Amino acid sequence: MNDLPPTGHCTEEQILDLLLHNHSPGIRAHIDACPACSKLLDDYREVQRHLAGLPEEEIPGPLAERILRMTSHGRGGGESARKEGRLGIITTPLLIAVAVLAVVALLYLLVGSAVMKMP
Amino acid sequence: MDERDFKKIYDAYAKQLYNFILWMSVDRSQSDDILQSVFVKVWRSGGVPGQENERRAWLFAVARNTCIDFFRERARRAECGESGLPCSAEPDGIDPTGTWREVAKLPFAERAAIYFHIRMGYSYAEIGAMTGMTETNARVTAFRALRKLRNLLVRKEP
Repeated sequence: MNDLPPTGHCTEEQILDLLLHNHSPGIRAHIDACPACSKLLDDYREVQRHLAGLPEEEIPGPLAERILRMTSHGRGGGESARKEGRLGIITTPLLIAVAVLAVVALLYLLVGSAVMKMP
Repeated sequence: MDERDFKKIYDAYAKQLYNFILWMSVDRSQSDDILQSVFVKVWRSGGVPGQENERRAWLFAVARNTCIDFFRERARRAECGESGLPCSAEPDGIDPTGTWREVAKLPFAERAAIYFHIRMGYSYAEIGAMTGMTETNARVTAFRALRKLRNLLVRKEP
């Protein structure tokens, strides 16, 4: 009891010490007898319950696959691999389009030159 | 470190790290990026501490530092608040109870300290070692966070 401040009630630090360490017998005895301090401790216990009771989230499947895949590439380059992946999504269709255009242009030139050579 | 060691570390710690990162960022898509960066660092590190408690502390320190890097980068891109560290204004569909929303209001150091202490059960000395704080600072930081959360979650101070 000698640890109590002049107010006659526990400080919040004392309550939290009790909550988190549970090794203050004098404070424990006071709280058991004091409704105000007991209420404060209950409030903190509720916070603790809130925090401890939050559900654990699962790692999304695609993320797990991406992380584990980076070792099979033989490099620590998962992040860059992912960036390459994203880049690939954009560049692959572009490359295909350019290739198709190039083929069409080549055919046009070939056919055009053949037509020009015709008598 | 070979693939098998990496897989063992992933299996043992990935979910814990993911939940810590989610707690710190309160943003699913960002948490995905941060977790991936953490494991890139693990893979590139070549090895992790052998003792279980040291390994866990090391991994969480890497995760915490990676969170800081991401938040700083986001601040640099002027996407968030004044300090650049904790700026998750709106939790990303994580929490129907509102707890995450209140957690997101805590500064970065308080958020980390409270997570390590309440959710992971670390001592203040261990939290200090992981976060670069003294043991006393870690204790004060966790207390401060709890006090704020009490006001936010349990009852508003008049």
